Amino acid sequence: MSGGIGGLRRASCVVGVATACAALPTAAQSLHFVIEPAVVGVERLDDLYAGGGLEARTAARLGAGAAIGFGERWSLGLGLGVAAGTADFGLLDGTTARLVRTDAYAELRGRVPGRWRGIGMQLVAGGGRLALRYHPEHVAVNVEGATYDVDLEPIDRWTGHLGFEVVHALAGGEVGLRSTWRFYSMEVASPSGIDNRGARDWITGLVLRVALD
Amino acid sequence: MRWMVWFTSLALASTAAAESGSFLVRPVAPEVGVSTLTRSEAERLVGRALLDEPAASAVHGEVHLYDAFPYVEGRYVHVTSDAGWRRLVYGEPGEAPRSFGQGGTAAGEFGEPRGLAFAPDGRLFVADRTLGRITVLRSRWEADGPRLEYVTQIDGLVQPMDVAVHDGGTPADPADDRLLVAEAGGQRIALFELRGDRPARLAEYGVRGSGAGEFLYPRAIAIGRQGGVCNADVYVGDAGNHRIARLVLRGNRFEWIADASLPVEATSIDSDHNGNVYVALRRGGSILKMSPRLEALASWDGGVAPLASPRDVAIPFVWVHDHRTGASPAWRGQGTALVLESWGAATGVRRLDLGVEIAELVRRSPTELELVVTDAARLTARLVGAGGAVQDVDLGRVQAGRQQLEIASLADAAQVTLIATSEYDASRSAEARLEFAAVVPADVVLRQNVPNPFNPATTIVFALPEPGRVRLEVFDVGGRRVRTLVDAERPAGEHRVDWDGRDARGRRVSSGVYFYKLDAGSTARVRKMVLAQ
Repeated sequence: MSGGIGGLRRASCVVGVATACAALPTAAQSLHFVIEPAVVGVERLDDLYAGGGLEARTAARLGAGAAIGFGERWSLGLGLGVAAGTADFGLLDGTTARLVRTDAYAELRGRVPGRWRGIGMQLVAGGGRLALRYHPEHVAVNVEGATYDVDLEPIDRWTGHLGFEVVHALAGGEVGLRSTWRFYSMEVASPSGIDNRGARDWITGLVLRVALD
Repeated sequence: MRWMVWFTSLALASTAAAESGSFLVRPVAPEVGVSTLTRSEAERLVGRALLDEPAASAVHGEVHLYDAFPYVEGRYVHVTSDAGWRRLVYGEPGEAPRSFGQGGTAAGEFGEPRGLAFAPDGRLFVADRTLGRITVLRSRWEADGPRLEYVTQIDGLVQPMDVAVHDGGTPADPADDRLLVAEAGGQRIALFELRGDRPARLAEYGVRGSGAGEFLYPRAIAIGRQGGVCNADVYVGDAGNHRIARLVLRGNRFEWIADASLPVEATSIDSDHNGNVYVALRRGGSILKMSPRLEALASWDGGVAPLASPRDVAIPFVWVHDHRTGASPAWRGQGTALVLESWGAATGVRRLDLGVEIAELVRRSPTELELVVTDAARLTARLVGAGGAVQDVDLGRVQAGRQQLEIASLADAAQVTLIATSEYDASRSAEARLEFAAVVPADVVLRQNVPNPFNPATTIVFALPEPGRVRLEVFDVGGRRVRTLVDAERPAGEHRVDWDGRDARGRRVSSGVYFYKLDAGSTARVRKMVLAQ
C-alpha cells in the first residue's frame, strides 16, 4: 500500500514538474498573475487517523495562494492550507490535544479546452510538505495510580496531490470548486509494531481568484 | 455499629451534590456530544433500539503508548447485558455497537444474562440467571474494533446473578485466576478455578439466613483491590438482608469479617484501583462509595438529574502497554465509573470521574483534627497564624476513610486549610479542598462589635474554648434586655452574630449606648456599643 501511495505521490510531482518545464518556453510570452485570497473547504483524513482518536476526521480547512499563468492554458500555483481537529486518543480520562495540519504546496494547473456556459475545468498535479503539530506537544495520561508523560512529536511529510477544479469566470477573476487527493506515507504505530503506511486525504472547497493586471 | 455506618453515609449523602468532589459528572461520549446515553439518544445514534432491559455492564481496556503516531491509543470494549432481549451489546465507546447471542439454550445463547466480569486476559464471564450457568466468552481486537467469541460455559448453578474474577494477585498470569459467583437462588457464593479449558468448582460458602455467614438472595459480588491487584477481600451484596458483607478469601475458604447495613438492597458492587467499594442502590436511587473497611465515604444521587433506579456500577480496568520502554504491561483501574440506570427516554448510562473530597472536618482538640477523606490522598495542612504567618505541614498519605490527625502547631494557628491531593491523579487535587476557620481560644472571648458606632447593623464575634450553651443578649443603658441574639449550644471556635438594631418585636431601637453580654458556662463577658442614627 505504501508503495502505491508513494508512487502516486512521486507521479503527481513528476507530472507537475515535467509539464511545467514543457509549457514554460511556449507560454512565457504571456505571463499573468493571480492571487487566491481565500480557499475555503473541508478535508477528510485517511482512515489511519482513526487510531489517533480524532473526534472527527473531517475538518474545515482555510487556505490562500497565488499563481502565475503562462498563456491561457497553463498556470503554476502556490498555496497554503490549514485545518485542525481535536484528538482524545480514544481515552476515557479526558486527555485531549489539538492536531493542527498545515500544508504548503506547488502545483501545475492545466485547463481542459472548451467551456460550457462559462464553466470550465482544469486539472491539477503537484507536491508539497505537510506538517502535523499537536497542541500541546506533550500530554500526561492519567491511569489510576500512574501518570504517563507522552511527547507528541511533530510530523513532517512530503506529499503529492492530484485533482481537478470546476471554474467559472468572474469580473476580474474566477471562482473554482476544487477537489484534490493528497498522498503521502506515514509511520504508524500499533501493538504489533511500527508500519510505514500510505495515506490519502481528500480536500475539497471553493477557491476565489483575483487577476492582477 | 451497622447503624452508625449508615448514619454516617446519610450525613454524607445529604451533602453530596452533582458537583461532588468524589463524583465528577462527565459526558459518556463527548466525541458525539452525548452526556447521558439514553434510550432516545441511542436510537438517534444507531438508528434503532439499542437495548431493552440492560442489567449490568463491564469495561476492559488497553492503553498503548508509542514513539510514533498516534503516540497514545486507548482501546476499550464496553459490554452491557440485556436481560430483556437476551443478548449482549458491546463495542468501543463512541463507535457502532455490536451484539452477541440471542435467546435460547444452546451454547452462546442466553436465558437471562445478568452480571458481567472481565478477567485481565480479556475473558468475559456472563451470569445467566434462568439457565443457571456462566457463559465464558473472550474479547479480541480486530481491525474494525472488538469482537466477542464463545469459549465455554459453567453449568449447574442456582440463579447466578453476578460474577467477579479474582486475578490471584497476578493480573498478568491467568493460570491462577478464580471465579466467584453470587448464586442468589442458592443463598451462597461459589468459587471456581479457571485453570485449563473447564472451570472446576472449588468451594461454596453461605446458607440461607440473616446472621454471619448467611445470605438472603446474594445478588452482587466484587473483589477487593490494592494498587489495582486483587487482595483477599470479597464483598457480597446480601439483598434480602439489606446489607453488604465483607469476607476474606484464604486459600479456598471464606471467612466472614464484617457487614454494613444498607437502606435498600445492593444491586451491584464494584471496586476501584484503591480498593474502594461502589454500591448501586437501585431502589435508593444512588451510588454509595465505601472504604475497603465498609465505611461510608460519599453518595451520589444524580444531583439536578436524579438517578433513575441505578442497577449497575462498573469501574473500567485497563492494561497500560508502554511500547516506548518495553516495560511489562501494568494493570490499572481507571478513575471512572459507568453507572447503568433505568433505560428510559432521559436516563440510561452515565459516567462519573472518581475524585477525592474532605468531609466532616472538625477540630477534636487544640492539636487534633478529624475528617473523612473519600479516596487515597496526600494531605497537607496550611496553617495561618494570628499574625498571618503561613506554615505548610505535610501530613503524608492517607487511605480513604475517617482520619484523626495530630498537628502540634495547630494549637497556635488562627486558621487551617486542609488540601487533599489525589495520589492517583494530581489534577483532581483542586477539587478536594476544604477550608475552615479554627480559632479556639484558651478562654471565652467576646470581641468589640464591628462597626462601632454602627447604623443600621453590626457584627459581634465571640469565641469558645469548648462546646457549650451560650447566651448573647443586648441591654440598654437602663439594664433592660432589648434582644436575645443567641441562646443555644455552640461548638468550640469562633462565631459571628449580626444585630440589625431591632428589638425582640422587630422595632428599630433608638440611638444611644447599648451593652452586649455573653454568658458561656460560668463565664460572662460584657462590652459596650453605640448605635448612631
